Amino acid sequence: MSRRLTAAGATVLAAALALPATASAHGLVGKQDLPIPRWLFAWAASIVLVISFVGLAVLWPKPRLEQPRERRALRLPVQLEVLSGLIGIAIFVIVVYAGLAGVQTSTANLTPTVVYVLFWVGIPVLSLAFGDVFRPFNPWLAIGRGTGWLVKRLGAGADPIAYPAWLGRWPAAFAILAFAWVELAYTNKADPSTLSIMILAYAAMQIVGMSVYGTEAWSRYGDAFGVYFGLFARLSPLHWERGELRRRPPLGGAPFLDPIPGTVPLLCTMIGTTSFDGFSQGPLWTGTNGLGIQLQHRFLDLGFNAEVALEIAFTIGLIGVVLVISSLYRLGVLGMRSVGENHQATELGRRFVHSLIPIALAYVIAHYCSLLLYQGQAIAYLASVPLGHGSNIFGTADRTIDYNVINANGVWYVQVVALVIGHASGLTLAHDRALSMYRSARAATRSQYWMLVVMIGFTSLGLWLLSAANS
Amino acid sequence: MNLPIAHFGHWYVTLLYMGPVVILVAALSIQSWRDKRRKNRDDSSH
Repeated sequence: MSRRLTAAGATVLAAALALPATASAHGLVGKQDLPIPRWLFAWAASIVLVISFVGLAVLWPKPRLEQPRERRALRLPVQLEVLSGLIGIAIFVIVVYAGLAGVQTSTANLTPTVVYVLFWVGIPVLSLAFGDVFRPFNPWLAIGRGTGWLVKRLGAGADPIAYPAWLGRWPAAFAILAFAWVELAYTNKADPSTLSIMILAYAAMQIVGMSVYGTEAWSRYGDAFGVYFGLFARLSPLHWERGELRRRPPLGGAPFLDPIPGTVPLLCTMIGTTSFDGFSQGPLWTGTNGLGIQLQHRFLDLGFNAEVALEIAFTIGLIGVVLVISSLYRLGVLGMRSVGENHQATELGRRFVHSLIPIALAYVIAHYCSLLLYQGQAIAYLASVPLGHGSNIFGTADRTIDYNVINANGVWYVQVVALVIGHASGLTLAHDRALSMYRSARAATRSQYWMLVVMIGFTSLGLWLLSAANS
Repeated sequence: MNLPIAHFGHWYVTLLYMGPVVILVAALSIQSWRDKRRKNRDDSSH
């Protein structure tokens, strides 16, 4: 078993590390001038993780995160929920309208920056700091709740169907994969009007889902973005629930993630799609003999036009990297199973899946921090000129992006720190869960040896993906 | 056709990133082998 696991591990890791050579710089400016080679950071990060693992084994002998420890910090008026919902709807209308009616240049129109920078990258960071901030402003949820309230007042409508248990978080997993496909593979991804139409289509699907399965059930499991941001919010020390703001330990929400079907694929998709973003911009994908170019040629030879061939190649790459990430996680789970105590692999996979949440967030921060720090500033002038012509609503239309806000070295250090903290947090969550599942602290620690390999593998992969961005 | 070794300078850094994982996997494999050997020895002595 152990030998098979070792061979499988080596194969998957070799595949993972043989694939990408560089990562997306995402607006990175300047050349890095680091005191040591970048690969040494991977070694240093690995040593930190091993020390963290030993520290957990010695200093953390009992589960501490498995019991809820929340304290009410603030009671919030109901009106605030209504107000934030209305603000969310207003922002939604402005973004959609700007995309449809504004200039069709991606950098001059408000919509692409709001969707790809503030929404996709900014909200995860806010969720870590302040909890599930998206939920009160979620426009389709606000529409669903408002409609539900109205229907109830009128005494019309039928009871929603019970949300099927087998469906779990599968709708969210597929929708996140679809969004990543649009972002990474679709050639028309930055076209403002196309984006607006896709936003409207997504909102319509959410409203249908809420009307069939009920507002709360659908928003908790089926609304991809609600689920995506909600997962990151579980790491936050703040928890907004039923008109209250509660405090809890950092990471305190993650152990209470209900591991329903689709949760493991969702988290593997989240990590895999970010990894592919880096992979797809490296020379092993884009180089003359790169995988992406070769795949594209294959489909050109089959008679597809260049655009479609490119999209098919990227689709294959995207799914391939998600499968590699899923296999790495599966290896950690199989390693845990080899410790004994008759835990099934599926059970272990689901019960430890919450340890992937901080890794997914670390990948987002490491990969997109420069995009957020540089392109995020564009909102200052785009808010004044949302349609891209004629207006200066807030008097900030002449603002520009300050590229001195952080230099290339600063970005690299943020990336390294994010990856180390994310993986150390993942180890902590997995260790705490193992303590509650295994008969002794020794068995719990032994069960996590292979999880440590997976965490170090993910860290090295992440740093490798990012390292070539400035090479 | 170029042998892969001809491009060693391009991809050897990749191996350096794999180093910590390889070391850890090797250490775990050796430990597992030792545990198994000890268990076999204990079983045969009883």
